[in-house]
Amino acid sequence: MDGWLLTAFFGLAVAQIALYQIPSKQALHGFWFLGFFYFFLFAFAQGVALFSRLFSLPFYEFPLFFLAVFVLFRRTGKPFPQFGKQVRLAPDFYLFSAIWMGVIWLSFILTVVWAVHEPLLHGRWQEIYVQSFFWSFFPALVLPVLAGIRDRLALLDPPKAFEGLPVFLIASAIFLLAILFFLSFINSSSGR
Amino acid sequence: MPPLLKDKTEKLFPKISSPHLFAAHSSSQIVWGFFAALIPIWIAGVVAYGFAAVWVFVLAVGFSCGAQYVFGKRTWIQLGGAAFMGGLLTLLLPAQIPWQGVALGSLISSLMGQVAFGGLGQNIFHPALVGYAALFLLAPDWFSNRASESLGTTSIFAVVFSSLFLLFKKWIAWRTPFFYLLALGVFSSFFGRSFISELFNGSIFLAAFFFMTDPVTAPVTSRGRAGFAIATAFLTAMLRFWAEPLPAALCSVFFLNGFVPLLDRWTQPKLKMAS
Repeated sequence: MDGWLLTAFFGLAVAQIALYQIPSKQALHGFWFLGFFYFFLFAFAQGVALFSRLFSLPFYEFPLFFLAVFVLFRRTGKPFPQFGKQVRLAPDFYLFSAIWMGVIWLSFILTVVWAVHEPLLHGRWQEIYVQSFFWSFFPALVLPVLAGIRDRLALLDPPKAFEGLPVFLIASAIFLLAILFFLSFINSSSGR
Repeated sequence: MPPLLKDKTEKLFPKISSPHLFAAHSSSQIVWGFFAALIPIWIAGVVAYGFAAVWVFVLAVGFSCGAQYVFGKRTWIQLGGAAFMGGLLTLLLPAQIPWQGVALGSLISSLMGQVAFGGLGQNIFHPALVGYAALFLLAPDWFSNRASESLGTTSIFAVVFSSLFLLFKKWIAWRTPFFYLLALGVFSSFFGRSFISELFNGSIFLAAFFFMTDPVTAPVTSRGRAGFAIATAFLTAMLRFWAEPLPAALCSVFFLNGFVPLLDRWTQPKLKMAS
């Protein structure tokens, strides 16, 4: 994930943890939900990318195409009853996460997946799905990790000026630094 | 109570505030002991790079102590945390680094890594790694060529000697480095690399014995420590396979420091009710 996207994604995650103040145990409950949500979103976007490539369909024609498919093949009843049930059961916190993180995620997919559908066409499915698995479950882990950091900070005794939100922002900034430090090696190796 | 009996009782059971349990060494003695354990590694660095290594050490320790003196508390300096952190940062920096780099790294380590969290024993991320990562991202040219190898990786024998000293004094738990080195060997073989060449590396040993065993930033539970060691080994092996960076182990430790509170929460032993 590139610079500003990662920063925006991480900043929103920090804001959400700071605003909702949920404990890490509760945040862990949303891990599988969010992970699979991103994974299916990734797979869906890749499918769309492949479809557009195979049928030479430009991106701006997709809404029209989906409308036509809906009109022609619409069915009564709900298309994904199980997913609908999950959505109703999930607390607001995860729904909110899923929506705004999904929006950022989609922008990431639009920039990256469109570029990596070439190996998909050549049958390198494993490479694509290992990558999408990592990029789906790692962001899903960011919320519990930040909630864990917030839990630990509540036990510390920082200087008065840093108590509460400032020390949480500093800890989050250091964690972002750690992620960027880690990704700098991967980006440098892929650039070679 | 008669006065004589009262005196006797107070002598036997003196009324003092907690802590009532005492370890063989105070935390201050342990931190200064860790500082002393770094001396063989510095000597190896001085032998390899000469006066430049001494200059980096003086600057790093001086700026760390100075920052904690101005913005923190004097007791933090007496406890030895600032000097130890400066000493560890010295081992991560190359000898050819300009003095501004050392000063900036030390200030970031002290202020962002320690003072903001409340001093020694309060930080979540290892302070020396905070300064090192910030410098690495701000000025990658200082670390780019192989000639600018960090001072701590010049001699693996010095690192092993210092590690054995810490193990002999029982100031670090042997399980974390043991699991880490074992898992790293296994994962390296899995990635098709040589077991020996991957393992016997100064930076690997430095990370295993000095950064992963840090009592503040490592997990508390034994299962958590094992998980931390295995996860760090996997990331190290993956990074060394993928990008071959010199600080792969340090980068993995720093990244996983963020997961430690969650690991501690995840691996808390469950209390069993007596039936």
